[in-house]
Amino acid sequence: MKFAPRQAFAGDNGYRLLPLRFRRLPWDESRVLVTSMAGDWLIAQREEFERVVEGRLDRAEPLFAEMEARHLIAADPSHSTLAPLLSQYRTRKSYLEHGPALHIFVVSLRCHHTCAYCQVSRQPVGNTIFDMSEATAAHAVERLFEWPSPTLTVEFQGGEPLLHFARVRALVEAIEQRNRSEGRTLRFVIASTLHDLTDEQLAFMRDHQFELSTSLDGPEWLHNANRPRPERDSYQRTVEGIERGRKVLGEDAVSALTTLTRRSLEAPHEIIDEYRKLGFHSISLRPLSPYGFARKTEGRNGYPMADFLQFYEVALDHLLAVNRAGYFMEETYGRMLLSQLLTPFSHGYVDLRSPTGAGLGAVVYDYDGRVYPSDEARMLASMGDHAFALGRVDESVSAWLDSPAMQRVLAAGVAEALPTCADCAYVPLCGADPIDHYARQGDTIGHRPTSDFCRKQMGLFDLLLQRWEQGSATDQRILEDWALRATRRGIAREAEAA
Amino acid sequence: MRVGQWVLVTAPMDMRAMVRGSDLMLGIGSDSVISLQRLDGGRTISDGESGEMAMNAIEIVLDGGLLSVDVIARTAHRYTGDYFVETVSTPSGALVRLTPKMGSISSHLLAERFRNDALDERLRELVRAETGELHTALVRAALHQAAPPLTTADQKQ
Amino acid sequence: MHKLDAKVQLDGWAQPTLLKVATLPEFASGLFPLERMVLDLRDPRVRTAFPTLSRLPWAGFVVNDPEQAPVGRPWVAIPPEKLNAQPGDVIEVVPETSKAALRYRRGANNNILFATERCNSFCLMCSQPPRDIADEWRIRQICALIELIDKNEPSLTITGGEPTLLGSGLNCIIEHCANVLPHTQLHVLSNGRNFGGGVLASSFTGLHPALMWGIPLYGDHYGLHDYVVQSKGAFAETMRGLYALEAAKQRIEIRVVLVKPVVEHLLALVRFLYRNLPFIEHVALMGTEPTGFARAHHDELWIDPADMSAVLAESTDYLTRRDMRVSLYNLPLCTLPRSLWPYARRSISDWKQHYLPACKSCAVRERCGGLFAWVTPEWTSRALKPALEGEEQCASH
Repeated sequence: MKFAPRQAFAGDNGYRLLPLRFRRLPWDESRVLVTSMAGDWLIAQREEFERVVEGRLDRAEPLFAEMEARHLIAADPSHSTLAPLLSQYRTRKSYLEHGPALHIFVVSLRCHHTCAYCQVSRQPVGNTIFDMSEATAAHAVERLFEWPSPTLTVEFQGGEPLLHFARVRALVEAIEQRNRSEGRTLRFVIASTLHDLTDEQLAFMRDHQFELSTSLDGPEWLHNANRPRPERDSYQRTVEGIERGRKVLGEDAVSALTTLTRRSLEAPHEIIDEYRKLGFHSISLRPLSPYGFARKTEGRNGYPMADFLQFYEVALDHLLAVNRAGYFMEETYGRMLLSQLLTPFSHGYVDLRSPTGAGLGAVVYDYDGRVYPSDEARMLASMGDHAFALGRVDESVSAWLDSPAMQRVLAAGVAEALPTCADCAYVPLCGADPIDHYARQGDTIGHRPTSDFCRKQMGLFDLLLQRWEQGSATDQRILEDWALRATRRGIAREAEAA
Repeated sequence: MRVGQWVLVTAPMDMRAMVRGSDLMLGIGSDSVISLQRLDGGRTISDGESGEMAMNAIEIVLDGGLLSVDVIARTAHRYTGDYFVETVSTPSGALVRLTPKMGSISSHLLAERFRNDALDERLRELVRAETGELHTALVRAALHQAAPPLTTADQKQ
Repeated sequence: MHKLDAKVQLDGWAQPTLLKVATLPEFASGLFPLERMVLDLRDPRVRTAFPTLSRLPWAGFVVNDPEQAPVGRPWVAIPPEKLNAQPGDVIEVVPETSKAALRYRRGANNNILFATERCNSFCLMCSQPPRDIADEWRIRQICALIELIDKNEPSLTITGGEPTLLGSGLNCIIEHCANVLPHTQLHVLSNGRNFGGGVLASSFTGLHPALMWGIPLYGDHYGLHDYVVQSKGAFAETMRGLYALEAAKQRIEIRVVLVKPVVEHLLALVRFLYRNLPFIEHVALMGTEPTGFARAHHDELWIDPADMSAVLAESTDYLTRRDMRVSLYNLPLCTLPRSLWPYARRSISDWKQHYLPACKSCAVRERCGGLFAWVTPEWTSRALKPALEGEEQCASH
């Protein structure tokens, strides 16, 4: 048996480029991030990369094998296969297979709060005409099961959904009843202030394994300043609600998120320390978006995206320190972006997808029977612009998918096809948000150089990549743990809104 | 899956129709369109225009030998967030004039940055030329769960 | 190290015959036809019961000495020093050559169903060098053997050569296992190269309740893998085969023999596994077996396991953090960092397992898989030395 040396298996000389994109590292312009079609990547010297593109890379160089392994180049076609690249691509886009998994039911617009940044156009507590009617609810449940997704996450929102809990209860019962013949996996979530929770409500939610999601903007002074109630005790009631929720539904059943106002941006450490004090292991640092009352009060509460990014950097470093000291805490949006950088999997959030998650990953059933592809579309409608209303709950799902609103969303919903996004190294990991661009810039396609969405995305990707790439081994491990937990096998986190 | 395929493969081609006529468009390459409309009512690029140069405008001369019109236009587009951009054809290439939109914009090393970005765009042009069609074919294949007949090794199956 | 076959005295057999060695428990259980069992007269309790049992239609009898054989009935003499054939084991008597061979051993850590000597790869370190020979007869023999294996046998391995070269014969074997031994896990070692078309892979969907494919991958690019398996196009075929198996809902383990060129590139390989094959269930990192083709390639292949420590630790950590199970095979504990001891398995088949004289005083000898019986000094780690009392506790991880 004659054995051949290594060179005999090298195949024909030369190589071809596979679809790839690159970005010079802002923190080191001599190097570039190079990403494949499916979001695998490496970092190389820009000079070397230039040689790669110009066809001058030599097979013997280590970079050759690295680029081959990540499907950035392909060597001899008679020895290679593109099957791994295709498989990676399908894995990254696997959320496409099932249709919307996140279904938001706005059971009422009524709310006790008068938050300046409210995106919802809330109504005072007494206005019950802003409650979802029985007929609307019945139709919505019908539509819900027309979608093929094997997992359905049903999220109750408002206003304050607890103010119309009878509707929540009726919907849960109707959905479970209907599910007996459908056999889907159901998840119930409620987005609530958790104020004035009754024992009855808690017991019901425990019996149906609800997850509670609430707003906690930070320490008491900040939270109450951002979220005024006539009684001025929003923080107290929120903390009480969190404790009672945990006691009845379990420690892990309650999550919290912040909304960041200009005031908030001055207190990154305090906000994180508050979450730690209350025993949270997960925090969501969400910047304001340009909807609802937030748009009206932009002058007072708003801030440029650059300020948010600066805040986030400080917050991230504080989080790393907290983790280093032995307390696990992740930031949910950062964790999602890291899961895209560091794993081959798709994530469960509808907010950052290409094709867009609007209508394809999430559907919103409003109290008045109108249906929207996302929360943002609903907020636009409440501001008077119905460009993205899909239709009504008494129409069929296929009518919604054929609607002009859906066409508008889809036509600008593929990031890989949008100007500037098409060339961006982060595009396989990022997403399209046509409704956000429409709201901010008046155009679903948007203009990337002036896009706050783009600025946020790139700023966060750059920051996280830099912290990981240049961080100590400990910090790298912390960031990896965030990403790996997110895509842990066996944990079916089918769909969430960030 | 059908929706996904439509969105990823057909939508990019339909997208061209979505850009309004009122935008100044440069048809660039076979699959994407750059819109250079200033959404806040600023100035648009037009070839050949050369009006009064603003006091704080910066001019950059580019060699047409290395950098195509396409590359220059795409590079210029990246600056339309912070600057009003004009390009003017010259016998040897192009002249790009950048006027900061606000006083706070730093134009430190602007010409160097622009040239670096243009060199990057040139690399992107090379990549697009070699991989554009392949990209569409691969996406289609991935969503159809079948390998495309692009490698002879794959074809043996 | 034990022998698996021996020349013996026998009489009354017309052709090669598979036989289960039976004593009283096997008789009482009624799980196997008496016509396929040999009653073990070497056991004193059986001899006591012989007058009653002798009339039953046993295939024959096992004795220590031909003189003890019953008159007029087939017999085989297997004294312990010739061959270690125990109750519950399955032997094959071969009259033409006067041999008895062990085909199944109850309680062994590794029972193999040998599918074929043919192979379509020619790995540099192949421990079972292929022969191009028509051996489809093995299909029938394996099926017959399966019928005599203990119903509570935890696992079996089908290997070769390349088992998929048996064609539908492999499906027959696996299906037979599913019917006759439904509680036995089945592990099939294959290079995966024939699965790419998809039809073959899907023929295994739902065929067996506990089936896992063990498939080797040696690099993240074809240049390295094809070199190690000495076959152009093998990497591409194996990758396509892996995806076809995934689509057919098959369970997959990746096996990596730790030869020098592979170890030099191991971290890149595990990253590739995670990024491209995240659905695999298990990764086996295996010390080289110094037999077959491996012996001719010592210089290209040999790397002292003691020099692999850092790479093994980092690779294991990388995979386990990403929920991929890892096992280390064929590596003595003294050659591994303490933190990796929990991943080391006693993988060497007991019949070819061996300890060196130095191992006599080792405190963890019972847990260690030892070495291959055919190990020579040039295939032995310089780190080989007994662990001291008190060192048995492995580092917490």
